[in-house]
Amino acid sequence: MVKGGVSVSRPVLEIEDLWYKYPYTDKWVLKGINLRVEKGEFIVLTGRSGCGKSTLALTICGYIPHVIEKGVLKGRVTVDGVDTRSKPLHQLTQMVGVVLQNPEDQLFALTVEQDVAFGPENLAMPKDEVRRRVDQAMKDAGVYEIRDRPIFSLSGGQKQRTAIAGILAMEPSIIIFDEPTSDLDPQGAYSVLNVISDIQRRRDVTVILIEHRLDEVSKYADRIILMEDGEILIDDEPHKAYRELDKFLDRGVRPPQVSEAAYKYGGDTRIPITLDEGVEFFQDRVNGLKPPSIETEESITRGDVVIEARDVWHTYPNGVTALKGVDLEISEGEMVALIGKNGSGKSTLSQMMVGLLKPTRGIVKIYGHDVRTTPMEEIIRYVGYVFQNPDHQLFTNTVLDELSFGPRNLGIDEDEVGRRVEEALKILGLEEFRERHPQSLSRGQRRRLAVATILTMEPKILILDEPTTGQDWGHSVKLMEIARRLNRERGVTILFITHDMRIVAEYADRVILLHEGEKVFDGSPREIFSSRWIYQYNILPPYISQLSQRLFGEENTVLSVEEFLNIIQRVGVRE
Amino acid sequence: MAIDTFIDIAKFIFDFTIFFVIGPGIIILLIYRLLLRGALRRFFLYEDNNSFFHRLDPRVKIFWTFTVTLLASILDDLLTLLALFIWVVIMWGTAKPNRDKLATVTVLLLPIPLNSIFYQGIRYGYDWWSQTFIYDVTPIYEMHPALDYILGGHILTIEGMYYGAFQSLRILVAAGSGLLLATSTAPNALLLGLTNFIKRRSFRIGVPYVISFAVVIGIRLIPTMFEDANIIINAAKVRGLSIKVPRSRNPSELLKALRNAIKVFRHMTVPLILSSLRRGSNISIAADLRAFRAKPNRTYLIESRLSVVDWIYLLITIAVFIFGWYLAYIGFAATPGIIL
Repeated sequence: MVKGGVSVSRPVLEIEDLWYKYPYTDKWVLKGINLRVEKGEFIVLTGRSGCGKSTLALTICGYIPHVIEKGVLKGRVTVDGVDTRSKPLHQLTQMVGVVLQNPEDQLFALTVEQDVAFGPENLAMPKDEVRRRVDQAMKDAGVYEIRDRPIFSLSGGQKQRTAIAGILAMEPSIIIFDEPTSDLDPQGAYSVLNVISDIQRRRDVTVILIEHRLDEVSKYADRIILMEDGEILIDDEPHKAYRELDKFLDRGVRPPQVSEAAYKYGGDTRIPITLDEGVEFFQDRVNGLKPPSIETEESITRGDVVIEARDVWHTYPNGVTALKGVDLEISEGEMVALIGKNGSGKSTLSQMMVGLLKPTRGIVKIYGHDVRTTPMEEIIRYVGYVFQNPDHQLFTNTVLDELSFGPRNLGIDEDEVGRRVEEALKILGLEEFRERHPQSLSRGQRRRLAVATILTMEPKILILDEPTTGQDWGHSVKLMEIARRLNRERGVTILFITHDMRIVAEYADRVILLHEGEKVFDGSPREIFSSRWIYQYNILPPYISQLSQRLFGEENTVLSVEEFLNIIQRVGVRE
Repeated sequence: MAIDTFIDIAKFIFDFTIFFVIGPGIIILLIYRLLLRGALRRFFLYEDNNSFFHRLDPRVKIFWTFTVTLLASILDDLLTLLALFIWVVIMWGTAKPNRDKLATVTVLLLPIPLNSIFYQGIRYGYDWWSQTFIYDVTPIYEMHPALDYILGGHILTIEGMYYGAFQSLRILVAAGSGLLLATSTAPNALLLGLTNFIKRRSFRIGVPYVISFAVVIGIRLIPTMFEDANIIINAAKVRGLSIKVPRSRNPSELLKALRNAIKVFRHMTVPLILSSLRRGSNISIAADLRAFRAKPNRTYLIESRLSVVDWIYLLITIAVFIFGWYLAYIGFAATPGIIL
């Protein structure tokens, strides 16, 4: 492995002046990429959605041009000294492996072991060799113990680790992970990242990890590459790369909070990237100084109770009890985060609030209307629900039709529908797309459109199911800012389900934590993130909160980088 | 006269209700209840069960199912058919099905003999045009003649019912053995068995791998498709698309509901097709990147070997197969029209 030095050995991957244009398009997606990667390096590749990261991955593994044939490819990609154009794809698969975002799409057999064997079997390797590779791959990816389990019974993290094992069994020298944790809950994401770093160390493979969440992955990286519009903007060792942190922020990419704090504080030659480094960085400067106590936000005056749940139970027809006696009151104008791991009952509870599910025991009332007895057509006049995947909720042929669909179903007159549509277009910045087909928009735009389709129904309560999952930071912030504006300016009560604790810390007034169908916490973000017990629920406070705790104690937990910098300034720094 | 007409109408209503409404209604209700309980969905979910039949090699099971089904269709002797049926029932017994499974298989199979006994009961040997029987039959119940136009017969005969029972045995043997095979064999084992039905080194007889691959992907994706469809319906509901069946009998309400149902269906198809296409494209990328179809002869990590029990059971099945075939050949019990 070569770190910070000049290597004389042959690089495992070399890209020279690579340009690429997809078939039937005029836009260059890659514009003169040059890249040299040594054996055993760990590269983190980042950039906003659509910047060309995934296309670059497809050219490295040879999918472009072997399968997508008609595009225009200029320049050269060499893996282990071999031009990817000169070898058939099945030989390249043994040199470069790719793990995709959604584990569902890359599992081909019905049990773990058979899936892992899929690649070596296709290559017609001798059976003993297949067996050796499969066993080793399953052990390295941590799925050996569950090798006989059927795929459908696995959790998201286990599925993704099975997919990783499937690639390991091909024994490639480079593995590309294309946002492997985006579709997973924190627990799954944690286990997958652990496996990735473990594999890289143990097998000495080269890892290219495409990721938005730099907080979690920067510590593994030998180099961080920031891409923008088909070009490489930054390619450097992380401590150095974050010296140009503004470039990350401007591109909608979220650098580690610890790095952001140090950079904004007045960057050093070496920006810290891990918590320990952050503590070290700031400790010297604040050592011995007592922080002023944090002025906690004034408690927001609560309006009338608009969502009321009393001893709510829900058992699905298959016998699974998803909710076990939840009590809850949400008042008008609150912005509430609903958190908990997958299967904790978040979706069940929130779907009850819009009448999609009925409690099997207990009462849920929306503006005083019992969801068991009030028809759903009535409930949706109060509550809007935005599902996680925009593609499940866009049905019509133009953006305008999509937006007027809801209010028309509610029987609103056309003039009013027109007014609401225009307003929603404006709020979500979709004015220029009014005549476009919803499916022709980018994913971020589709996500905003999905929110807009609900806004035109003018709900008093807006429920957002994982609004930021699978989106880059820029898009996430954009969406959450819209939610906050609706909340602050129009008094819309917002309930959002999320796994992203940074979003919780920065946007929620109140947090509700569900665990195995029970409510285990209901309070402010500061309260939950300053508690020790949350670790037992696999919840990790944002890194900036952890940093403030390490420096100033739990009673001084901050929620954002800005808040942290504020404290530091008031502490009066030792120079 | 008036009384006769009254009795006539009453009889028509009675017969119509019993044979046309209540009878089929009960069966539909039973199936509906199963569906409601999710038992039907669970029925096809493979459950690991360490029973004799579960442990048999899938290929032996496939051959057994083939044998009993084939013999049931070429043999035409009540006792032989009964023997085959009992064999199937015994094998069901060895598979130790739970109560849920047993109830489901009964409800699924029961309509076969009922239907067959009833319809053969009124139609066996009955010439509809002349409204006479061409065989000697023993009527046991005469329905209202007007039902002739609906049912194609109206006189239940013992001979017809016997014939119906007899015929239904064939279908029961085929369906019973098929369902047993499907529910007591892990899908992957079944597919592997079909793909490598006979395999010795690089020699292989079986379904092409590409087909069994497609089937596996299908099996894997069907639940996901249902989930997608469910979310899409919910997304339509929260935007005010009502898909409830109206309680009112008002025709305009019903028409509205029907229009709505069509609307829901139309709106559902686009996102469902699009998400399937996106998924399909991702799957094909992932498969190509794992060397799918790279070599004409792929390796199979798991190749089951027949155990002693498998061999014994296989030999018994082969013996029965040959014996049955021989019986049909010498004309002892061949179904008329079967050419051997």
